[in-house]
Amino acid sequence: MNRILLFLSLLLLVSFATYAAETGKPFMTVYTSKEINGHTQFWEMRQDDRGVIIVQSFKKNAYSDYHLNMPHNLATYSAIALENADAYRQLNELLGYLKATQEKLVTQSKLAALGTLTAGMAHEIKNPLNFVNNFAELSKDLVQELEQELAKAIPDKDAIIEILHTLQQNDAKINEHGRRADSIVRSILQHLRGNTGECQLTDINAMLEEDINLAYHGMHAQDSSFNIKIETDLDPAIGKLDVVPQDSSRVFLNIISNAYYEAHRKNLEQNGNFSPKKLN
Amino acid sequence: MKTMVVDDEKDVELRLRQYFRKEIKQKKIEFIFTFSGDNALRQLRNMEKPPEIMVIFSDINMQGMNGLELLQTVKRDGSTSRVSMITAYSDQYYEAAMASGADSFHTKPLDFSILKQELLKGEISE
Repeated sequence: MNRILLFLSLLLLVSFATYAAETGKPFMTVYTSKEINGHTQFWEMRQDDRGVIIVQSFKKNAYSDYHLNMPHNLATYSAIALENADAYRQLNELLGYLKATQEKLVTQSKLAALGTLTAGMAHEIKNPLNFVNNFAELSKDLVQELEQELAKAIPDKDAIIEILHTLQQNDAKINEHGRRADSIVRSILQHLRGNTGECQLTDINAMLEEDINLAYHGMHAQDSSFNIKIETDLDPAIGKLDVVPQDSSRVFLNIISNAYYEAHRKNLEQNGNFSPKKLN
Repeated sequence: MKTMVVDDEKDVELRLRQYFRKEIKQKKIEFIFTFSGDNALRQLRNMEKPPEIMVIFSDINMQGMNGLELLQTVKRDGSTSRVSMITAYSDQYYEAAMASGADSFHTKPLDFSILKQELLKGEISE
């Protein structure tokens, strides 16, 4: 009988242990029953008690301290197991938190790179658009001039040819600068669209040149006092490499921006006399 | 009247030559285009004195010697040329340019009619 009760109690213990593990409250204490005012009081719950082991007998004083030793040990080991389970859960929580923080940091670094890109792009795109507008306007004047020339009794053929030639030239320039603006927009879209993570054969030097420019204008947009002399010495032999363009470009942007920032800071510190030498 | 234009955007030349084609034909304005501050300074220093160049228009943001440095150096050299600064960065250089002795300040996109006025005003006072 005692054995059955002990077995039932162990079942109880297991269910309590499960409950405790799920709620994450691991403490367990063993009490022996006490006679108080003729009533048997079995235990006294404390706030941090999360499980109870009951060992019952119909006989009075059936268990000696020796017998109680067993549930006592069980309770102790259960408590340790529960505490371990809890530590494990907390560790998992912390790991999740760390992962989330890391993701946040990565996102922030992506956003920072994007901010640099956007500021750089806004400026870079201004120049070609100005040219598009200017050449279009100049062409408008030329068309007027052409009309005036044609309205004459004897139009000057050479003048007409010259105007037509200039119109052709302007058209080519509008096209050229339009494409330039388009390629800048395309490159920012590539960054915005997120990452397919796919490797592509990429012209490393062209990418680097673009990033040098974007980072420059990005820095400048943030700090108008920023100015720097840029010397590039790119090895054309590197050609095209199989890389993930967005990721590589972001790395370039971050490194270049950091270098700009540091060079600018040192230059301010040394009253404009900082001029690092290129190592050969 | 000789005018030097310093800008690292090469198509600036084509644009200005077209805009001022009549003035160029009439020999009212003669343009010299350079594409960097260093190059501009070299050319200016090689010229006969008193300077033939009446007006210098320089972009501020250029790699290498920027427009402000060019302005300061030209003024330090004692040049009597008018120096006008041009920048795409709105007005943030205005004070620095004026403190360095700029004669006028323009922002991109350039209003060519204002540029024309400035150039022809120089022509009249010549």
